[in-house]
Amino acid sequence: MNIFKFLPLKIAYAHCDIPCGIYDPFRAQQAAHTIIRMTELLSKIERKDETKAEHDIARMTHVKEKHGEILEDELGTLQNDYFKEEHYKAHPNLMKLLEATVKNSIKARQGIDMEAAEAALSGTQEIAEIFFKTKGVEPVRVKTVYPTEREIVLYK
Amino acid sequence: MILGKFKILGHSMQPKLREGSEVLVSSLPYVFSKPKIKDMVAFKYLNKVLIKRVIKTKGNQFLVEGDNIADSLRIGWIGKKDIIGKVIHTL
Repeated sequence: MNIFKFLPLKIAYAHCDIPCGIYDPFRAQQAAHTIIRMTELLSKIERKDETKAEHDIARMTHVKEKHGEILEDELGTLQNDYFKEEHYKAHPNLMKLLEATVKNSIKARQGIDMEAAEAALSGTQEIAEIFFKTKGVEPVRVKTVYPTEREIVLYK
Repeated sequence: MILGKFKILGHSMQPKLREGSEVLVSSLPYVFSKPKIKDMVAFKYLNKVLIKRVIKTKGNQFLVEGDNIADSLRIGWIGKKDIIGKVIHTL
């Protein structure tokens, strides 16, 4: 017998959106672009000056790592705090998309892997599109002014 | 509150506390001592009861955040007077 059965049950919130409720996939997309940029730069490191090359590799890898963590954190926030059951029902691929994008971000952090970096950005863009649809606005892909020359998802 | 039973709404304490799980909260552990780092505490915030984990202490101030996401900047430091009790058991 559960001796605590007769205790009145109250609600305790373990929400992360109190009190702001402000969510935006922008930071995730910016981080995904940064991962691509760092991957590009790392693959073009010149070895004329070995000390400089090592220094640059260390800095770029650090930035890539940091933005991978930002991307994974931002996607985690959307997954755990913003997207609700009705969103997952309306977009059956959403959960797999979130998981796959996090995996690609991790893969992009583990090496100089442009394929994984591209997949992380592509997944993030798809998630951003779903996000804006859940907000009742029409998502639109716009070419950025970033050196990556790739797109970002905004809304009309 | 000597002993209270709470149902968890939200995901910030996953995987330790899943949404819908029930916990027992008691004020007794804090009658003669203060909350410690890693304690899961229930506290009042904007007329609601929240559950988070203590990650820093400074006198009678406690910095709390969820296990699942670092949202402590949104909550900030809370005072001992706001803390209802410690999560002592998961049902």
